[in-house]
Amino acid sequence: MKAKSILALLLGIVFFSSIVFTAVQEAEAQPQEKMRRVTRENIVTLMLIRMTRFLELSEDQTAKIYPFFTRIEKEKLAVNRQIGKEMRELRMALSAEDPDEGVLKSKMQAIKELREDLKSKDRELESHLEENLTVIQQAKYLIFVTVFFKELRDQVDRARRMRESVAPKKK
Amino acid sequence: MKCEHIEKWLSDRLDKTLSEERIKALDAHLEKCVSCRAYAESIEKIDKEAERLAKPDVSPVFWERFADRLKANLESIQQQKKERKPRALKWSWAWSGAALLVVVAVSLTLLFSPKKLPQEIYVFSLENSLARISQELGEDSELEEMFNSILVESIDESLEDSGWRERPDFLENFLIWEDLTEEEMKFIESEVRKDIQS
Repeated sequence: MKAKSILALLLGIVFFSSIVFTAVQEAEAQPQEKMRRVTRENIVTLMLIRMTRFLELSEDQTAKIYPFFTRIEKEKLAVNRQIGKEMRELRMALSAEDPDEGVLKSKMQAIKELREDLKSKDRELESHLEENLTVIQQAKYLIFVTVFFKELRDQVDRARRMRESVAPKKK
Repeated sequence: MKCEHIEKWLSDRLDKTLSEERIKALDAHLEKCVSCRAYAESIEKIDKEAERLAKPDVSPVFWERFADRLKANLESIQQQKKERKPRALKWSWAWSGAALLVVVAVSLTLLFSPKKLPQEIYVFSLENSLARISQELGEDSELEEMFNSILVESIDESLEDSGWRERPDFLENFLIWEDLTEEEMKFIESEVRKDIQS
């Protein structure tokens, strides 16, 4: 019972901190970006809940993994925001009558570096998982992630079908 | 008379083909012109020296065949010149062959050498998977709303299944405050104020 309570607490932290983090940044973001961020947070939350069950994480593992996962997600969110900003500026620079190649190069370089940053954060997460999971759990994690994202893609299809079934009724 | 003609006239006189009239004119010129006289003396001397050389005993048939041999030699020289290009072409084929051999050798080495695994095996990228979902959603906000509602449903179901629905009030736990920034604290405060006002 105690373990469940701690799990619930940690989940609560994940929920709460992501909601707060999103809300703080919402003022600056575009509507499409806001929605994408919410979607991403929902995906990560669902992933953490399912992962806990699938990998049968212990209380100790949960306490180590959840906060780390949340921190990495926050950092990646910031990097993604920066990528979005650089991409917008790149588009603007490119749409100029006589695009400044120096500006274009610096923007492209910045985007490349940010993408590398994202990859390195993914690797950081993976090595943290490796440190805190047993070999069986690591193997399960790989399977879990594959199945989870396959399921998500199926859910996108389901959403598409739902919208299509709703659309004629509107007419 | 110009000195330019003298060379030819001198040569013709040695060959005994110069007319009497020109011989007279030539002698008159040589009396006056020192340089032409010197030239005349030198070629006459050469002519006399050549007379002394032993004449080769060559049969008339030799001269008949000489023209043919000369022609044949010239043709063979021309032929050799023509053959130089194909020779260069042969070399280019040789180089191409060598290059091909090198390529084949390198390919075989790569093919049969034990494959080295990349130093860092990037088995799975969470970011790529999330990006793929984003790609599928595109910029269709209606679709994304639907997808989000499905996600929230799934989160609820998963919490229900795990028995975590009745979670303790985590806000009362001091741990939560440790992770929050100044901005987040201000946001919570404003939200709480709104709640109280409503």
